[in-house]
Amino acid sequence: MSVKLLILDDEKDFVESLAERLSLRDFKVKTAFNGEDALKIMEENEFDVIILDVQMPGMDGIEALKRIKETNQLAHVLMLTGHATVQTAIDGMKQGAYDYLMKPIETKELINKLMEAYSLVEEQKERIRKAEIDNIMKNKGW
Amino acid sequence: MTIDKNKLEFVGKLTASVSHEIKNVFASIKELSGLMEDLIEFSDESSFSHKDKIISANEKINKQVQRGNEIVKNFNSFAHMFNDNKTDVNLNNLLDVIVNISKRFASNKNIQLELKSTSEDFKFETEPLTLMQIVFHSMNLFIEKLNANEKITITLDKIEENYRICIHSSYILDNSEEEFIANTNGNIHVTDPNISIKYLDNNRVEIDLNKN
Repeated sequence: MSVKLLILDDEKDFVESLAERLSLRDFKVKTAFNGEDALKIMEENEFDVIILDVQMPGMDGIEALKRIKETNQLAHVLMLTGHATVQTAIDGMKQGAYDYLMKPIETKELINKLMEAYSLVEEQKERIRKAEIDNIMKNKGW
Repeated sequence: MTIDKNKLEFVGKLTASVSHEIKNVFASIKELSGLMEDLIEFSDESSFSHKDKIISANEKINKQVQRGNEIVKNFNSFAHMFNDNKTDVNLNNLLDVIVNISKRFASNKNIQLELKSTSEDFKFETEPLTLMQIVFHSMNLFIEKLNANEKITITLDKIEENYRICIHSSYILDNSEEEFIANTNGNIHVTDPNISIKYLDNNRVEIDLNKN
């Protein structure tokens, strides 16, 4: 099953080329160039991992992270940062982001982190499925 | 000449912002070049003429991105030290930044700058910009006088509770200590009483950073 991924960054060329590269590797990728559009896309799609730039005009990375966490999706968030904004990424991790990556990205490192995040999301989904089954069985007295 | 604190912070803030933007440019170039690499790799072998030349040009683009990225990283760290307030300075980082930024001045004269860094993080409370100026001024003294193929070594050591930065040249200069100190005091306004500078044996500057 392919990883469902959302890339949110205002750098259009960067987002489009990264999206294409990850699609070539069988990731199912959607893109957004600002926080508002990302939230709209999230209303209609479920994601496993979200790549989020910490510094964007309008809704910044931390605000976008908060709003993403409010959507009840299980997706893990990877924050993208420059040398000057590592502290913001650390703040983001304190608020629930899974990890961060420095720009320019090393492809191998990105894919490793995406797969790590994906397997954690899958484990969590499995635990939820198991809990739901246990709950149904309990309610039916089985 | 002293620069107004607010102006210094203003320049630092703008410089940091510009270097952040440049980093975004490099990130985009790197992804576009990565995409070209992928398209070649994932394509039918016969569909590309000049495939090797394209791959080789792409590798060169990547190398330049890496180079540019290192320069911007140092420049960004440098911009964040644009204040003359006392702060807890990571001495390893400070030396790394100032030595890397100064390499161009040295390489123009075919002089090698070598920083012998330590794995341990040494921190000292001082004005980062002033300390950078002292290190630069000391390196520059040697850079200006040395002949090609000479070497300047920069070391950082912990001596009991204090630290010592040593700038050591492979060539003996003819300046006296009085000349060096007078020149330093004329160029840099060292207000931190915990910093003392010595010029020894006409080939070594020791900057002592005393905690008390």
